[in-house]
Amino acid sequence: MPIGQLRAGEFDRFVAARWSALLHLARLLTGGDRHRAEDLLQEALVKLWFAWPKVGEQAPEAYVRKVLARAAARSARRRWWGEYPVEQLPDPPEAADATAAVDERTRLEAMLALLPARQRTAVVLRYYQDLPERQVAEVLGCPVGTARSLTARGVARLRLLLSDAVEPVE
Amino acid sequence: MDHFEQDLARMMRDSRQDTPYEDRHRQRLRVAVRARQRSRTAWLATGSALAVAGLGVGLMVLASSVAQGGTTPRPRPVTSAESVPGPPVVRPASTAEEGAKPAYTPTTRPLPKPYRPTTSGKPST
Repeated sequence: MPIGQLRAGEFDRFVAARWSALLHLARLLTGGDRHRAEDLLQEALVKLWFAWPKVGEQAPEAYVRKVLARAAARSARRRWWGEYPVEQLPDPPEAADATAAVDERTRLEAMLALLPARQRTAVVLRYYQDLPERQVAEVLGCPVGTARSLTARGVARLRLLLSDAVEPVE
Repeated sequence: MDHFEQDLARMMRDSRQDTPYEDRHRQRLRVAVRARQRSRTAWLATGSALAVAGLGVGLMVLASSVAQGGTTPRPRPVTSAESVPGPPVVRPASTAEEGAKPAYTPTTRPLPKPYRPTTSGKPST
């Protein structure tokens, strides 16, 4: 089998196996924006294709994670002026299937969307990917102190938003 | 991790939905890879053309500077009585002995004075 076909087959098997997990990561990184998450993931996978000879045998998922995180932290920076915390949570979209899980996911994504992009990325890497602070810093391309600060500020803001959300309405 | 952080991690994990990798995703990815390959090829071709053009210009400049350096006459050291004719020098005539002296011009080296006995009648001491 030609090398090109072999590479395409390995790449396709990796993407098919990890698509769901990577899309969920992208969705968390974009604060629940499904379309932007798919765009980000596709861009990251295109880069992975060209880097496959180097990273395919070692850690392709770590490579995709780094590309996703940096793109998410970078791209939303342009809209930073549009993101600001509010006292009241936005109303979640009406869901056909109003299960508790859907409500929780919707609330979580709404909370994450209110964070600045770099804080959101740091929080997702630290708590969803369970990466140590040193690795969060390496993925974001910043000093460890900066990563620690981003994570702490992001969690503090989420703590405030989520505690406001669960307070009973009087 | 405190209770809130643990809860946050749990919410992030539990919110995951199973999204299968569909043919439309596969097709879209293939199209994107092909488009990126074409733009990379065009970029490489442009870069190569610019590099070749730059090299060509550099070689031309080098060649012309070498050619200009070959036509400039190098100054020759004078090793004999041969001299390059220069502007005429007017000297006041004094004695017959001195009249035979060759004219000194800036382009020739002064020749050593030949020994000439004096003609005053007095023996030289």
